Order: sequence, then structure tokens, then C-alpha cells
Amino acid sequence: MSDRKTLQIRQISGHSGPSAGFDMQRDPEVCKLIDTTICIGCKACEVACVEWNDMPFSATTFDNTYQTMPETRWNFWNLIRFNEHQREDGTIQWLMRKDQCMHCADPGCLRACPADGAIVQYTNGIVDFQQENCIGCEFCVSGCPYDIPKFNPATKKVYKCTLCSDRVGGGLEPACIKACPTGCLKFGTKDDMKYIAEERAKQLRENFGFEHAGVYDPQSIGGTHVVYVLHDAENPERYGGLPKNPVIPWSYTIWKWLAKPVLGTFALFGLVGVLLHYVTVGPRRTQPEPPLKKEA
Amino acid sequence: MIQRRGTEDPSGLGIYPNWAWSWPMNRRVLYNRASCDIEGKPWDPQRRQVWWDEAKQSWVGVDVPDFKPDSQPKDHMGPFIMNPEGVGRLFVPLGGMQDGPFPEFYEPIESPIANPLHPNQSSNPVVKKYKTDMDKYGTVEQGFNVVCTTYRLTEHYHYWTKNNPMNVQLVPEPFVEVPFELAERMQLKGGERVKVTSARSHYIAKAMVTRRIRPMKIDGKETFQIGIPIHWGFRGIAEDEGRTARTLTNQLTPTVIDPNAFTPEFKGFLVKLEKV
Repeated sequence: MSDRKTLQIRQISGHSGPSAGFDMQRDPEVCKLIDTTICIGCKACEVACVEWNDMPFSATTFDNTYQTMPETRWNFWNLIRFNEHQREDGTIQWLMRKDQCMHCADPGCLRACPADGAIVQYTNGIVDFQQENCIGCEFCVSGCPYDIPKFNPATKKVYKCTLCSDRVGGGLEPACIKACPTGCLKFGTKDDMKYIAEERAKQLRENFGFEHAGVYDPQSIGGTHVVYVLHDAENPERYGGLPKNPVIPWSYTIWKWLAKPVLGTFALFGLVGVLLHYVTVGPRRTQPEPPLKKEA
Repeated sequence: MIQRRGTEDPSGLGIYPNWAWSWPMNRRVLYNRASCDIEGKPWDPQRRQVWWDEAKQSWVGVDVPDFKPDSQPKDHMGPFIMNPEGVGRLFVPLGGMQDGPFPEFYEPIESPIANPLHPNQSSNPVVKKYKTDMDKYGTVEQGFNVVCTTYRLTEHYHYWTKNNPMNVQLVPEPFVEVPFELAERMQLKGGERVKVTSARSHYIAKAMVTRRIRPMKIDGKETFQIGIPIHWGFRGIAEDEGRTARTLTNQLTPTVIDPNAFTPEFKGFLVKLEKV
């Protein structure tokens, strides 16, 4: 699945104790930059994703939009969302946003996942699903603030964008980046991409009259390894429901940091109680069976 | 070079020489020698782009001169350096063009209005027309009151990719883009089927109701435009599954050929639009 030399593991879902090999090597964090202001909606990235990941033809129907399908599927990880935004002066802004896994620094899916090793986060920031360890509970689906992981009922596993960890591990850019004809998609280290994104946002503000242009890298989930340049960073919801302040549901934080250790301690108390009962009372003895009454 | 963002404009003429780069040689106005008289002096001394500098024996200016820099005015080299005769061909006699000798604006063969410049000769008299039964032309009076245009999508290539699953999943079916205001008037919802009829044929597809195509005010009349991508017809994945008709968009369009460039007039014609 991945090249051990370049993809070092930082976190493993449902796994107690340190991750094997953590901190042995420091990879720079990778990042995908999506400049929505120069996306032309050609969907070349959608095809590149389907082809590289060898996914089957996904039937679609006409839905009064250029958008391929309403939302991503278990076998369609990369979707351009088309939105017609009517400005106050009556003119139309046709907003296009490439929707896919954001590879959060604090991944809600990984926090929610109870299966050991089903979700891993590499030190370069990629969050990857390992389907052979997935138990199909779909907790990751509700833990994700972007509604990205999708369940395949046939295999009973969950799938999503891998940021092409198989390509990145080999020193290549993800397939969508390779296919983009306008330079709207860029790939590199997080520091470099943040720098380019901020420069572009500054250019949009100063030279192109987009006063609220900015970079989308929400700190409420510790930042993401996919960042957007938006014409209007104050209203990301216009771009097909991009949450301004994405949050992992509190229940998952409580589950992981409070309920799981506390309940584990209680379970331990139970075991201790059983042991004490054995020591003080002794083993359960078999009772002599009452003699059967003969029927009259 | 293309990333330069200098906003200074020393001449005040809107040349902005340090903003990005323009082909060729960062020249902002092509044939700018034409802004000078035959002596090499600007016609308008208030708005000087380029001029002949006698001291330097060279053409200089606030823009990059589009000229042989050391060609003296007395040599009479014409400013339109890409034409053999060196002039701009505003007047082209002797059959240099099929129409002419002067350039002229014509309305399409099918237009919602008569040409305001000369209503008695609204469209080009020397276009190539065919004389088959299919070559008929409609008018607004006959009920063809909607302007139609045709175009391609980035997702498809010509008529080939309707057989390729990768492209078909991106845009699965043909559609007709209809302005929101027209759809409201027709009580038409996105996804409902519409029949587009021209004087030549008809085309049935689902409607995509959008605000991206705006109503137009032409000669005081509100005029609507619809758009049809050309990529479907005959046989393909959608056609073979019975999801769409097998007719071609270009059965609607008029085969009227520009006499000089041989471009057919498929981008502007008249249709009527009905719900099916």
C-alpha cells in the first residue's frame, strides 16, 4: 500500500500505545492547493482520479446542473461542485470547487474509528484508509465534518480520497494535480502551498477587487492538507456547503478521550472484582441436582 | 514576465507597460506606427504612442514601436507590416474579398431584428446557401422568436466521446440551457423535456434552467437566448440506452457559409421553444 521510507505513520485508529516508527524520520507535510478562482470546471481531475484508482464507470443522470453527481461516492472521490451565486447587483458568479477529502491535521474519521489500523495518518499529513482493517461500522462517516467517507454496501468497507498516497510515496504528484490544465491545482509542502495561496489571495484583494479573497485552511480542525483560495473567504458556504468552522462532533472527542479510558477502567474494576470474589469465596461449586419426581 | 503587476502608467494613455506581458515583444497596440503621419509625427500631440526620433535615427515611444525601428519616414514603409502593401485593407477592391470593398456589419440570416445600419440589406448578400429542402429560414413572424446558439463542452470532444464511459459519466445526457426568466414564463422546471424547433428540424432534450444566460434587450424588445451543446446524436451510450433521441443539434442550424472564411453560421439562428 505505501512506501515505508516515505510514508511514516503518525497516528493509527483504535490503536493504543505509540505508532510503530513514529518520529524516526521527519517528512515535510504535503499539501494540495486549489485555486478556485482559476478553475474552469473541465472535470479533468475527476477523470484522472477515476482512472488512476481504477474505478468502474459510475452511472449518472442529468440533474439541471453541470455537476457530475450530487455528492462524492465510494468509487468517485473527486467532484467539482458548481454553484451559481447571484451577487447584489444581479450579476452571476459561477463558483466551482473541487470537493474531496481535506486530509485534516486532526482527522474526525480517525478519531471516530474503533478498528485498529483501519485509518492511518502519515507524518506528511495524508490520512489513508486501510480497507483490510476496516470493520464497516461507518463511525468515520459521521465523524467527518466534510461528509467525505462513503460506504460500499457490497464490500462493507468505507472508501475515500487517498491524496494518491501510492503516487506521493513514489515521489509523484496526485493524479488530479497532474491532469489540471489551468494550474488551478498545485502540490508541494504545506509551507510552500500556504505561501503561494496567501500571495494569490493578496493579488486578488489588491489587483482584482475581490476584497474578501482569502485562504481556506480552517484552524478549528488544526488546518487541512488541502487548502483553497476563495474569492470570498468569509462565505465558504457558497461553494457548495464548505463549512466555515468545521468541527468534529463532540461525542467523538468524549468517546476517545473520556468515555473509552473511563469505561476501560470500569471494566478493569469488574475483572478485579471477579478475582477478589474467587479469592474470598472460592470457585463456584456444582450443586447436586434435585431428584426427579416420578410422574404418577 | 506574465506575473508582473506594475500599475504605473507614465504616459497616462492606459498602456501599463509593466502589467504582465503582451504578445509580441510586450507591445500594447499593434500597428502603432499608424498613430503617426507620414513624417513620423503623432497625429494627436496630446496622445503620443510612438514617434520618429531624428536625433537617435530610430522609432521611440511610450509603447514598443510595431515597426522596423530604423526605417526612416522618407522610406515610406507602410505601418501594416504584416500585409505586403503595408496598409490596413479598409478598402479592398479587385476581388480581394468575396464581399467588400469596404468592411461591413451584417446580421445573421436568421435574426430577431433587421440590421439597424441598413434594414433593406440586413444580411450578407454573398453568403453561400444550399438549395435543398432542408435549407429553409425562419422569421420572428413565423413564431421563431428565441435566439439559439450552439457550443461544445470541456467534458466532451466533438461527437466521439459520447461512446466513452469516462466522458459520459461526467455529462450523461444532452441538454438545452434555458434562461431562468424564460423558464419562469413557460412554467418550465429544470430536467423537464423541451422541444426546440427551427425552420429546418426539431431537437428534444432536457432543459437546464440557469441564470447564467441573461435576457437581452434588443431594439427595445426583450429577447431570450438558449444554448445547445452539440455533442450528441445518432448512437452513443445515452442514445443506445434510450435516454435521449438520436437527432443531431446541427439539424437545427442553418448551413449558411461565410464567403471568405467558410465558417458556417451555427452560432446564431432562430428557434421556438416548447415544453414536451
